[in-house]
Amino acid sequence: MERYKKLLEQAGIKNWFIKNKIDSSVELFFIKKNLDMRRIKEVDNAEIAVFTDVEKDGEKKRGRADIRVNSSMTDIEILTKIKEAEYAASFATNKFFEFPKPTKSELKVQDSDLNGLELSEIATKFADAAYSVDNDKDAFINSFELFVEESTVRMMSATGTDVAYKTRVVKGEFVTQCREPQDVETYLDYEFDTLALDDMKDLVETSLKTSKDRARANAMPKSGKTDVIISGRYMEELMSFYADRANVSFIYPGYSNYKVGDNVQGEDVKGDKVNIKFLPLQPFNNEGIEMKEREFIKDGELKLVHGNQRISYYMGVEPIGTYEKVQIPAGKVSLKEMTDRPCLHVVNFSDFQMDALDGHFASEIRLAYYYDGKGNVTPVTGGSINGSIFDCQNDLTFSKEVQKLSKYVGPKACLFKNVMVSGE
Amino acid sequence: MKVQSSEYLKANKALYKELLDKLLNTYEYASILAADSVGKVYSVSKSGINMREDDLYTQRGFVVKVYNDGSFAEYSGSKISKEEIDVIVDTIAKRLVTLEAKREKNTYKVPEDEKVSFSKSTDYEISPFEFGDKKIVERITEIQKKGLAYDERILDFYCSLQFQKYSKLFLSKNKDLEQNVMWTCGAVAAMSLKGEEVKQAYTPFSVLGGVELLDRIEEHVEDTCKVAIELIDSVPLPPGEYDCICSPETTGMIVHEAFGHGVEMDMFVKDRALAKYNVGEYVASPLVTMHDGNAIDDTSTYFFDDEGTLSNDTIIIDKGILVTGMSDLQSALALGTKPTGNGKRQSVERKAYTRMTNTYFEPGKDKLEDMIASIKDGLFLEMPCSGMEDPKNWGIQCMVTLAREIKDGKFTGKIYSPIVLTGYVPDLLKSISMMSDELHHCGSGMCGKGYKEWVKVSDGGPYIKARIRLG
Repeated sequence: MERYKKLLEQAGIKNWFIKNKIDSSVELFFIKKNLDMRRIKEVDNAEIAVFTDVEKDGEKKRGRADIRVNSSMTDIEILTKIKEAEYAASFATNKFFEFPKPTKSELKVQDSDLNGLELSEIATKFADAAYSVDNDKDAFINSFELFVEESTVRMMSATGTDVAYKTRVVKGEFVTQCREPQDVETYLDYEFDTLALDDMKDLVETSLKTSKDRARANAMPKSGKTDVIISGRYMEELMSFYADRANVSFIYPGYSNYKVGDNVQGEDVKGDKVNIKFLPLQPFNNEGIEMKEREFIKDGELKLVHGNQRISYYMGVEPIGTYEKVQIPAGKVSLKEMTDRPCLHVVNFSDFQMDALDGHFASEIRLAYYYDGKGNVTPVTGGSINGSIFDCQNDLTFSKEVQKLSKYVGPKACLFKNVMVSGE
Repeated sequence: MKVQSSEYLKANKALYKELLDKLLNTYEYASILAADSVGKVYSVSKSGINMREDDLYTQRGFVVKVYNDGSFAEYSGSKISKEEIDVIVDTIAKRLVTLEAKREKNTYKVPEDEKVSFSKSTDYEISPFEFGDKKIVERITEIQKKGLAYDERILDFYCSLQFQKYSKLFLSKNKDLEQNVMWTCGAVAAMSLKGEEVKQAYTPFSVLGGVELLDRIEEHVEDTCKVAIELIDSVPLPPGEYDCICSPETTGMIVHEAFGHGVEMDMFVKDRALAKYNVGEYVASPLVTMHDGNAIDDTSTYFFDDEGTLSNDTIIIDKGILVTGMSDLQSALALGTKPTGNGKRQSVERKAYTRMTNTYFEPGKDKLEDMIASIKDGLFLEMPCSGMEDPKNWGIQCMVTLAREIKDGKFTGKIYSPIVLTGYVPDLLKSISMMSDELHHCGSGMCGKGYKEWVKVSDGGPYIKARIRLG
């Protein structure tokens, strides 16, 4: 880090920002119960932003060019890249913007029970946890990938920012399979920042159950509009809609008309009002701005917009960084009560997508439960849903049950009224 | 012009060889893949100009693979030096191969290591390095301005260009391979407003080469803007099964997402692909022949893969019959087949998986106008936007931006958007009744394995006529 700083100063660069990241990982790859590949990674990479101020047609502009370097490069190579970036930044210019206020901090180490253990020990514990519940006679783990990663990030700028943090994360994906009566599988990815061995077991058990239910599921009945419950990890993707629409990078070019004080669900809200808090994923964003818990939407009313320094400056709002993690309070209705009416509870999609540009959410359905409102439930598969959040957001029902995911803490499920479902 | 080799790899080759020799003293098989690449991304929109070296495209480092007691292990690192060689050897011996020592492991035969040595480079017309950042930014800024000025209903217009020049060195006991490759791709996107919804029309481009691509990008500004404006009047599609004509880009998405992922043979090893049980059987209309590999030049053309296997032209489907899948080294060892040169890594920091390269359907003999005229009541699907594989069940999950209504062989002007394709892959492929006589392919996007491991691929084919379930 000090080497990059010295080279930038040697090159006479007035304004710069460095983000240096040192990563190590232990990675295990299983097929069925057998280890198929093991890996260790020890790498470093740095991003250096070089800024150049110019005047064009009497207007003050600020240009930026980003380069990537690492410890394998010689001083001459890095200096050459820096000089090229300085030149490039002189014509890759945008309207002038100010840099974020400088931040200083000692190394912040994530408070986690993953600390103090070797990465390989953590990997063993998680693999043991996952396979400890792989005992079902019908469904089993088909394949399992585990990445235990440690990252140390330090950021410095010419204007005085000097912050650092260290994180550990356990993440990966796995597939469960059930061969009878139909041969089916369920894919799940996961991410934990604590020694959440019980959560790992729960995930595997849930996935095994999903595979078993999908194996005996019927084809989706005919097409039409119905109430749909979306739950589990799809809530993370779904609720990212509001954070995306409130990002200054959406608002500035006119993709979103959100303004602080707006009722994001419209004026005639029949169902639950949306309440969202932003939570930090890391102590600092990529510009060194401190990230902290913030009230985002209160009773449907937008309290703030977020995003990077440059666009926030253009819009005249406080630059608070881009938030990706949200917290939503529990709803008042239990999942059991939600399913007292005829509805489709989708628990597994092939690739659920929430498009924040046009508001559509859509996906093929891999497993859903159809409730007929008379106490009967049927597992179904196939078909797809295609809904618009603009059409349904005034009548949402959040579940009492809550869940904690890597970027989402909140209701386990949400009920949407009158969503188009395509079936046989 | 030929892409130049990496001075860095040349300068450090002796060190990689020294590391390899030391590993071969202990392990029956060892290999090193070293990479040195630079890739830049340029974009212009209403929000401003961005220019950066991309983290996926700019990398320098190496990955060591060792074969120990029947199984494989890998070490990824950034820096090689005389002093660090012994540290790396020690890490591999004490921390890597001992990982999970007590656990049951899959065992493999020692990989074949055919004696081969070469240094090859792809061609380009205009180097982005010589053309220069300044001219690239100026050109895409002009294109962006042209798009924004097309019509007042264009909310925003985005133009991007990205390129990667990479050099790779693969060393094993018997292999000494070097390749130098450059690709360039780009896109234009036009946005319009329909109430609160932002509608987006997107046109991608790619070439195995340099910034000669810029001229092609400029030619498609108006088409893209026109679609964005048409989307303002689009309506949701009633779900159902329709006779469809697919644009070559939509065909490419079906080739890649719906079928291609299902014949990645690491999925055969895991028992995750239905295709495993259908080799030698009709899985598509006899009109369909599908390739993967180096028979065409696009962003995934190379001379050897990330495990040192030479690239191929693999015929996956021959006149409707599934002939073979594609494989990386380890999957081929598990299945007792020959690796097809499809072992690819996101970077030297990641594991190799079986991945597609340039995947496409051969063209047929029909004329597009005859195909459209043959539709009594159906749709023309264009502008694919996303897709997801389901090799286990051959389910289709693909999305396209729009469908144009065709009645009695003519476009009615009615537009539906967005469109979800669902159904069963062989049903769709067997329903293909016409294929146009032209081949288009594009490699502008990145392909993931699940939701990670992003690699460059291309896909394409002709216009096809098929019966498809849409939602």
